[in-house]
Order: sequence, then C-alpha cells, then structure tokens
Amino acid sequence: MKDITIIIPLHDVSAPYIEMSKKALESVKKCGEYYKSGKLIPMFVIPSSYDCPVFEGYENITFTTNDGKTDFCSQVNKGVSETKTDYFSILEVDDTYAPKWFKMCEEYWNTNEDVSIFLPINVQSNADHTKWQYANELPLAMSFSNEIGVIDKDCLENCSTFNLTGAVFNTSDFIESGMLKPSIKVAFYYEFMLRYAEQGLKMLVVPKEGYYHVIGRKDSLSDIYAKEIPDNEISLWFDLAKRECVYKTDRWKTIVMPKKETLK
Amino acid sequence: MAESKKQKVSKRIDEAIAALEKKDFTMYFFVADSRNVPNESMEYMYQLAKTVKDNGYNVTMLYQLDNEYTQEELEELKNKELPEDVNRTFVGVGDWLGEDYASLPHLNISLGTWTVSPSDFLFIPEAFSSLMFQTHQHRIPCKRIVVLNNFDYVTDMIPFGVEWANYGIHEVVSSTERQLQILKDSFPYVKGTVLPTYIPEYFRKPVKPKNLIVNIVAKEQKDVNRILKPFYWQYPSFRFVSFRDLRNFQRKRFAESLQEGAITVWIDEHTPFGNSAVEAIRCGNIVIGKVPENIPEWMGDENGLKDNGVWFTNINDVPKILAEVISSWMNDDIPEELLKSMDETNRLYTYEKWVENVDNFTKDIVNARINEFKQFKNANIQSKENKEEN
Repeated sequence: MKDITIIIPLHDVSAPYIEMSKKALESVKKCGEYYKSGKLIPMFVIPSSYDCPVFEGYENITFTTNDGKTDFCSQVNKGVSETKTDYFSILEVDDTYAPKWFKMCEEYWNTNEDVSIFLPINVQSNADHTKWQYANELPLAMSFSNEIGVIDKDCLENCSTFNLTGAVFNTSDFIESGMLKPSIKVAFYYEFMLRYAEQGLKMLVVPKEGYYHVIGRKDSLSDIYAKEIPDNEISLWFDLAKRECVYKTDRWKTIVMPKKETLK
Repeated sequence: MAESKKQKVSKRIDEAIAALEKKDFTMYFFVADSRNVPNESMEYMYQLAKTVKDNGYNVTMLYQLDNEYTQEELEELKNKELPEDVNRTFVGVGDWLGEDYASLPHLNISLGTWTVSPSDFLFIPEAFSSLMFQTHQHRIPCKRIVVLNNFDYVTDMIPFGVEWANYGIHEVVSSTERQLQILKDSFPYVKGTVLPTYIPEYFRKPVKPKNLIVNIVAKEQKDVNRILKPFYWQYPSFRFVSFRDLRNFQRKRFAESLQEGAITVWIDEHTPFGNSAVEAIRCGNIVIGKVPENIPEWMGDENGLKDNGVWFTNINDVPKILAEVISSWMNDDIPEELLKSMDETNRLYTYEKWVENVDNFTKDIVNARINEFKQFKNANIQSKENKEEN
C-alpha cells in the first residue's frame, strides 16, 4: 500500500475539536509504529474561514482549506482531490484507528489486487463508551455473502448500514466513480457503495477490528441527522440512494415530504 | 540321490535369503475397508505401505470380504441397471486419501488365492487379533509385524485370557512412543520400533490471508452442538462468526478448510496422536483443544502442556475461550509464545524424516530376517555335523 493519506474533515477548530484531533492523530501515530511499508500522512480539511491549527509533536501533517461547501461529504471530496497518494483513508475527528489496522489490512491488500476498498470491522460505541456494537461485520458470515467478506449488490440489498470511515480506498477509483454525493443525507455511504457495486468495483471487509467509531456524540454528524431528519424521512433517503446510484454525478435530488392535513 | 529334508530346508533358506537381498518379496498390509470414512489408523497403514512401495519394495494391501462381487457380476448388474449390494464391494480410500493410495495393489484374502513365502512380511493392525490368531494357527511362514496406533483397539478386540504371545506376535511398529510404552506395560516381550507419522505437504499455511471461520473437529455431533449453540447464546455480538464442522471431509478438502479458517476447535479424547490438531497447526490455525486421555508428544511432556494451542478440560469453558481467541485474532494480539510454539510443532513430522525413518525401518527388518535365516541355517548345519560326528 505504501503511503496512505489520512483525510480528517474538520468543520470546527474550537478547543474540544482540537483535543479530539490530537487523540485522532495519536492513533495515526500509533498505527505508524506497526505499519512499516510507507508513511501515514494526516490531512486536515478545514473551512477556509478558519486558521490552520497547530499540532506540535506530529510529523507529515498537511492542511487543505475548503472555501466551497463544508459539509462532511464535500470536505472528504476536497481532501481526496488534493491527495497525492494511491490510497487514502477517512478518519472522523472523534474516532480512532486500532493500532494495527494498516498493518493487518496490508496482508489482505497484498493478495487482493482486484479490491478497491478495504473496510475494517468497525467497533461502534456511544460517547461515554458504555455500549458498543460491531459494524461492517455481516459479510464475514458465510450465510450472508456470496463470497466471504465481499460486499456486492446482494449484500447491499440486505444491509444498508455499512460505514466507510477507517476503510482504505483506492484514490483513482474513488475519483473516477464520482466521489461522495453531498446532496444525499444519511444514506451517502450507502449510495456510494451501491454506485461502486454498480460499476463493478470490489469492496472487501477485512476480518480485523480496525476502527473505533463514536456514535451520537453531541454535534456529531449522526447527532445532527438525528435532530434534523425525522424517522419517516430516513427510509426515503435510502430509497433515493437506490435510485441515484446509477448516476455518477450528484444530481442534487431532494426529499419532499407530503404535507399532512390537520383537522381543525 | 534324493535330497534330504535338511538339504531341502537349507535350499529354501538360501532362496529366501536371495529373495530378501534382491527385494524379490512382498510386504502385505492388512486393512479394513474404511468405506471412505477418514480414519487415522487406516491412513497410517496406507502411508506406511505407499512409502515402502515408493522405496522400491513390492506391496499389496490385503482385505477380507466374503462374497465380494466379481468383475463379471458387477458388469451384469450395470447392464441390468440393478443396484449393488454395498456389503459386497470394497470401497477403500479413494475418496478421502486419493488415487495414489487407492491404486496400491489390493487383494481379497477370502478368494483363497493369497500365497505367502518366508521372505514376505505381513503387517497387521493392532485391532485384528483374529488375524493374528488365524495366521498363527495356520503357521503362515512370513514375518508378522503388528502396527500399533491405539492401544484401546488392542484391549477392545482381544479375547479375555489371551495375549499376543499366544499368537506368536513379538514385533510391533508404533506411531508413537507413548502407545508403545503402554503396550509394553502389558506385553514386555514385544520388540517395538517407533515410526512417528508425517503430516502431508498439502497441510501448509495458505498464501491468501485467512477468513474468520472456526473449524470444528469432533467425533460427536453433541460436542459440536455443545460448543456452537452456547457460543452464539453467550456472545451474540459474534453472530457473524462462521463455523464449519469438518467431520468426514475428504483429506484435501479438509486441508483446504483448515487453510481457509483461522481457528480450530478440536475434541478427540481417545486419540493416540491427534493428527487433526497437528494438521490444523500446520495450516496456521489457532487450536483450541480438549486435553486427550493420553497426551501426545507434540502437545506436552512430563513438564506439562506446551503453548502450541489453547487447551481445556471442560467443554463448558469453550465459548469463553473461543470469544477471547477470536477477539485476539481480530486484533492481531495472539501471544508470541503461542505462535513460536506452533512454528516449533510445524518443524516436526515432516515427510522427508518419515521417508528416511521408513527406509531405515524396512532395511532393518529385512536384514534382521536375513540374519534370522542365516542363524537358522547355521544351526541346521551344526546339528547335521554333530549327527555325522556321532
């Protein structure tokens, strides 16, 4: 895999976010102690309205400023377009990698040349780490997938909750496939994976714990979606994802909820 | 002038010695029909026979099947599209050991066509005390050697009040030192050679990285259930972990499954050696194994159990152990000592060593037989001279 860019989208540079960034960076640094085939290059993508923060004691950090849209997907797309390495990974600011993730992933990368995205088993926990669950693990079950670990169209028919943070992506495949679609709320990873499967690109879950993902942190993306999008709208975004995955570019379709008539 | 009886005996001895020196004799291996069900003892017998053959000796596998179909009868059934009576056919080992073994010459002794000479050897599995008895009763002239894999089979099959000395059995070849020792505790007069088995080359670490599949090698379905169901009940977060029951798998498919999987749970309490566990280690599996009644050499010694696997005595502990091992494997946190000890085990039981051992063993038994004949002949001549002097 050699050098890997670690894209860290940052939409806020206040003290709590700087603290979270340091923890995230520390996990990248730890990964570097085990991964010896290349460099891990953290790349912060921040809105141009902020000054680049200073992280002392960390090497190779690059910064990219985004003066366009600064939602999560646009931040990631901006980072990828600036990436100079053949592979990259996405690290959310409040998350961390497992120390051996890139080392463990390399073994699978070396023997699966046809795979474009290597997903880790994602360990998801609540903000205070009192509850946890696995994510991305289902394709590892023989009864679930056509080929163990491989996420294909059939898998995506049966599961829509895969999470791509922490995964190792082939940069050129990501760009050529059309990148993430910022207009698709909640289901943007799902739409992206459907599009990948549609284009015949292969996604493999590496049977290793690689990424620790926090769900429901206050002001996190999942928290914002939980507040902004009502339950009955969520499934409509996933339906939209299924319709839009055949298009490479973002057509900026949106969900219009039918107005409810109220009796007076 | 007609040859005297002693001259005849002397001539036959010379012929037998010449046959032994020219490898013009046959080593017979008696086998039971495994009917394509994998069996460690039969595998050992076939491995021994094949290696002896590869070393340039004549080999024939013997079996006993009354009323076996003739070729003509089989063709007739085929032409008339009638079903075969499975009890009248010898199935053999083709499906699980492969064609290399199935194609060794086989002979049904029930046909009455088997002839044997003093220069021949007959290897009898330890379970077949009836064959030991019959060959002793009929004074068959060849050298008889018992193949010992599991002392349990000796005690299972031999009648009360009888021991191997009653059958004239004084030589044994054993697959393990421990089994030989157990045998010698009962039959101290038996001369034994230990020929440790080998693990075929197709049991090796795979090129591709492993999937998170747990293989189960257990004799009983109830053991499989005792592991699998409580594991899913106790650890629902691991419901994505797949299990594969490898019972009765053909050998190469068995090896492929071990190569694909990461972890093997092994339960075989009465095994004398535990081939499956060593094969799993060879394929890079972490073995979670129940400590057998007789601990094999590779697994431990008087100093205790080795670190080449995770060992348990109570099956109820398996779900917890399994969850811990899976978690360690998913994080590449398998202890270094375990991996190192597995590598050490992998250096044992190689094919090269086995071939060398079998070659030395066959040369030794042939030379011993020649010496036996020479001593007999000398004794014969001596007694003739003594008579003439008198």
